[in-house]
This record gives sequence, C-alpha cells and structure tokens, in this order.
Amino acid sequence: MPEQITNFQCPSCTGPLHFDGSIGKLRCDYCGSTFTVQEIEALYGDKIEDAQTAAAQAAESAQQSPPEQDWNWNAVSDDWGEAGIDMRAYTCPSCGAELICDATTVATQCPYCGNPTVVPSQFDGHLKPDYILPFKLDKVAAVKALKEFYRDKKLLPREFASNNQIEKIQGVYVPFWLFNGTAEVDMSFRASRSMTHREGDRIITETDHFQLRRAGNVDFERIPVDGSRRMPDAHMDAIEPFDYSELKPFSPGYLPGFLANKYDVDKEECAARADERAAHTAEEVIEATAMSSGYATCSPMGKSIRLHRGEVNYALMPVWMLSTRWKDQSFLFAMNGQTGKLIGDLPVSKERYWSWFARIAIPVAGALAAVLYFFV
Amino acid sequence: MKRKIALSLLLILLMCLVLPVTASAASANGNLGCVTDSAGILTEEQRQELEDIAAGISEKYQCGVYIVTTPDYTEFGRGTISLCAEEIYDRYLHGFGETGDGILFLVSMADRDFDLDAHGSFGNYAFDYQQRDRLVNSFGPFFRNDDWYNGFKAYLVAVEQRLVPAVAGYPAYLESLETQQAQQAKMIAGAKGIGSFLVGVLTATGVCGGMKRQMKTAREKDDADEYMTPTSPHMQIVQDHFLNRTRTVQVIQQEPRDSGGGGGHSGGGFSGHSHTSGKF
Repeated sequence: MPEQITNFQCPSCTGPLHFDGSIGKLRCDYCGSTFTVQEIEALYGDKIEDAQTAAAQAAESAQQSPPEQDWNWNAVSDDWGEAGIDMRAYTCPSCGAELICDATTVATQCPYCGNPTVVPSQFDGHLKPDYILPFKLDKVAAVKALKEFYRDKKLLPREFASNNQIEKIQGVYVPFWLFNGTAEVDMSFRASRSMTHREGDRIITETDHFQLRRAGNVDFERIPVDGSRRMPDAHMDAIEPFDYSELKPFSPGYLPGFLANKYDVDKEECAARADERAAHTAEEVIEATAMSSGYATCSPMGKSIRLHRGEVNYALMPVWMLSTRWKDQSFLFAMNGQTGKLIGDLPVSKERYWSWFARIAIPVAGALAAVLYFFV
Repeated sequence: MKRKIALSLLLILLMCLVLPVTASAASANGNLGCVTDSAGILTEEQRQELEDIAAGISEKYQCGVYIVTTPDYTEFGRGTISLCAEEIYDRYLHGFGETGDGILFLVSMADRDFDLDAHGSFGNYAFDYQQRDRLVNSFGPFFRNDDWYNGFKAYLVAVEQRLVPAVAGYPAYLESLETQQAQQAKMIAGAKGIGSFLVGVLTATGVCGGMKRQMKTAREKDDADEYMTPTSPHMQIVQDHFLNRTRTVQVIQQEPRDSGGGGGHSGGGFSGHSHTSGKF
C-alpha cells in the first residue's frame, strides 16, 4: 500500500518548488516566485502532519482490512522478497503515480511529473535530524567545479577530459552523525638535550636525559561520520570540513529538489570511527606539546587515552554526487554542497606519466651532469 | 787621517749591520747550501767535501739532496721534527723541477733525532718509505758510533744508488701514473654520469608521484584536527624529570705526518712532504 508523501507546490501557481541554495529560498520552477523555508513550513505544516497521520493510518488499515476478492490475483504477487524489505511505495500527490523508493529515502523526485517530493513519515521521532546544512551551490557550480578539477591534472588522459560526459549529477542530503566528546590523554616520553664543547684536542659532549609526562584533555565538537552505507567513506571524509556556523534546525523545506536519505548506519556503529579520529588527533596534540619543549630528542614511551563521549547530533549535509563513465569504468566525484570542495579519483594516463617522467628526469640529469663536469 | 779612520769605522759598522741581514734574507729566500751544519758536528773540510758530493748528485739527477744539522729542532717551535723539516724545506730549500723534487736529511743532536723528508713528485717516487728505510740503514751504524762524517758519506752513496734506477724508471712510472689517473678520471666521470642519472630519476619519481597523488583525492581521514575546540588542549600535567647526565669524549684525530721510523709513504703522483723519522 502506497504511503503518503508531500510535494511542495507554489502557492501562486501550484508549480513545483525547489530549494535554491544561492538565495537560500524555495523557488517556483514555473513562475519564479520565491518563498522562505519558514513561509513554506507554515503553509505546509498541516499537510506534513496530515501526511504523517495518513501514513500511520495506512499502515494500520493495511493490517486490519482484508483484501478484496473480485479478481484472481494469485498469479500476481506483491511479495518483493528480501528486496522488498528495503523498498517503500509512495503515491505522488501531483500526478498520482506510484513511486518505488529505497527504505531510507527521505526526499526524491517523481520520475513521471518531475515534482520534488518529501516523505514526512521518515522524520518521525528519533529519525528526525537535529540539523540541516542547506545547499549553497547549485548543479551548475558542481559541473563547473568538476571541469576545474580536471584542469591542471597533468596525468589525466586527454580523451577523459574532452570526451567524458557527466552521466549523473545529483544533489544529496547525506545523513551524518556529529559526535562531541573529550579525549583524556596521559603520555610519557624520554627526552635528551646535549651540549658540546672543546677541551684541547677533545670534543666533550654532555647529554642530559629526562623523563617527561604530559597529560591533558582535548575537546572535540561535531566530528562528522556519514551514516549512509551507500556513500563511500573516503569520499565523504575527503569533502570535509563543513562550516557548522551555517547549520540550521532541520526543516523539510530545505529538501525539495534534492535527494535525501535517512541514516542506515546507526550512531553506535559510526562512533568507532569518530573515536579513532579523536584519539589519533588527541595523541598528536599532546605529543606536540612535549616535542616543542626544547629537547633535542623526544620519543614517546607510553600512553593512555580515555574517550568521554558526549552529545551526538544527527544532521543532513549537502553533497553533490557526480558520476562519469569512461572506457567501461565508473568514476564517482563528490562536491561539498556548501564549500565547493570537490574530490574523486581520476584515471592516470601511462603515456602521460612516462612522458612527464622523461621531461623531468632528462633535463635534471643533464643539468646536473653538466654542472658536475664543468664545475666540480 | 782621522776622517779616514772614522769613515773606515763607519763602513765596518755598516757592514756588520747589513751582512747578517743579507745573510738572513738570503737564507729566507732559500739560499741554504746542500749541507748546513748548524750543530757543528763536522769540520769545515768535511762539510765542504760533503757539500760538493751532495751538490754533484743534485745537479746530476735534478733532485735536491740536502743535509741540515741543528743542536735542537725544538728551538724552531714546530712541535715535531717532521714539521721542523717541512719548515726548513719550504722556507730555505728549493728542490728541483716544478714540484721542488728533493730529499732533506735533518739531524737534531739534542735527543739524537733524525727526519728524512722527501718532497716533490720525483722526490717522493725515488724515496718512498721503503727507500727511506734503506737510507736509514746506510747511516745508522756510523751514527750510533758518533761517526757523523762517514755516516753522511754512506748516506750520500745510498742516495745516489737509489737515484740511478729512479731516474731510469720515472718516465714509466709517470706513464703508469697517467694511465692510472686516466682510469680514475673515467671512473669519476662514470660515477658523475650515474649519479646525475639517479638524481634525475629520483626527482622525476618524486614529482610524478606528487602528480599521481593529485589524481587520487578520495581518502578516508584518520584525524579530527578540524573539530578540536579552539581552547584545547587543556594541559593538566606537565612534568620534566631530570634522570641523569652522560659525558662522551671524542679525541680529534690529527692527520698522521710522522711515520716514526719507516711508516710514512707517498702515494702515486704525490708531490708534498713524506717523512721517515726516528732516533739514532
């Protein structure tokens, strides 16, 4: 049974509304009217509640009411098997089409009428994100950034940059867990400091040896760990950092026009990665305090790191995902929808690699040989 | 008459003042003879005879043969008898040829020290450490009996005996030296070539490695530097505990100059000083 979804329509012309990051408002695709998120929230607040209620009632009635028996439906199974567990069906309020989405989908677009749709029931209770970081950069900026990214990459195959077409580009609100906490670090070091002086024909070196102890707390705020299995961790880590000063309390009004998923990796699972990162940085910071104490040598002897986990927040972060295909290989790029930082792995042209190798090695070797022959 | 006497006295006084200066200047310019007996262990006749022999050998073989005796080499203030010999050779003796070929036999009577200082390319070739040992054997038996004249004479005979084959063998030696030097030059050129090639390859590997790294920008992070609060870290314990002090002594190695009675030798083509010194 399809669940209820909402699509935000223009109060003026009922055209579909998209969140426009460049102006920070929702814009109508047809008449160009713009509305603040708060205005749309106020307008659609009831609808969202209705949709959530309807979703709950639909689920209830699906359990209570027996199916009609007019037709023999035996050959047609609504059992999706294991795949069905992760699928959800929704009805587009604009055209009535049935949308089959992933169980984690929070916002998407109707493939029939193109209207952006939001699934309010996905934000119930603990599933509701605390924050959202709205998109600031649009699709055009993402495409431009990718072209810029190709530039100055001397080992990129020429055909990749010239013939390569963007296969898919999608703005996605990626679920992130933001971890707060404190690392309590206690480290010991062996250090030494030497003084050398000359007495006649002897060089005297006196070395003072010390045992150092450095202990302290390192506080961390909002270490992000992506809570989506579909998003590669390497890509999500590499587009950091986000500017948290622009975080907003969550509102579905920011979602239209973008894909959004709810988390499918829970915070306990993600906490391990946040712990690892915090511990690593805390150790480095405390070690640096010893290393900068003016000793000639300083080497760690022992350490104890205790992590005190603090508050965890759930936030949706803006990411442009771009995929391209070249020589039957897929290349995935991610761009921070707020800062514009774009990352991704590019193919390496062997010809260009060896060409550059020769262009560097030969002149360097030649120049050095000339210097050695003529001046040494 | 009084005026003539006064002029004569003035002339004598002037000569007394000027001559030592001239002699000193001459000495300083390298005008010592082949045999200088400052220790006074030879009669003038003996010295002159030895001078004639040494000068004859020097001219004939174009290699300076010098004998200098001194009461005490330490008066020169040069530390060792070898350094003293070098000082005398460099300041008062010329040697022959472009590299100042020659051999100085310095005898210091205070503690019965001697030094044989070979100098110049040919000097070092003719009187390498083995030949200097032979020279020591020539005068040693006489000196032990304080027979200085015969000791020096035997020494000069031994010097000439060595110079005959040395003069004959020197061109072949030079040729082999040239070949050796050419081989060395080839090896150095090869090493320079290989070194340059390796530096080029390493530089290219580094630069291209950097370019390659730019192509892979999706990397997992293992730190959280950007999320540390501005006030962190809050240090609670900062302790520096002194444990102990260690002291190491390194003796500065002096470049060995004394062969101590047969140790030192000259390398191929070496034209500086090489010594054999000891006591008699």
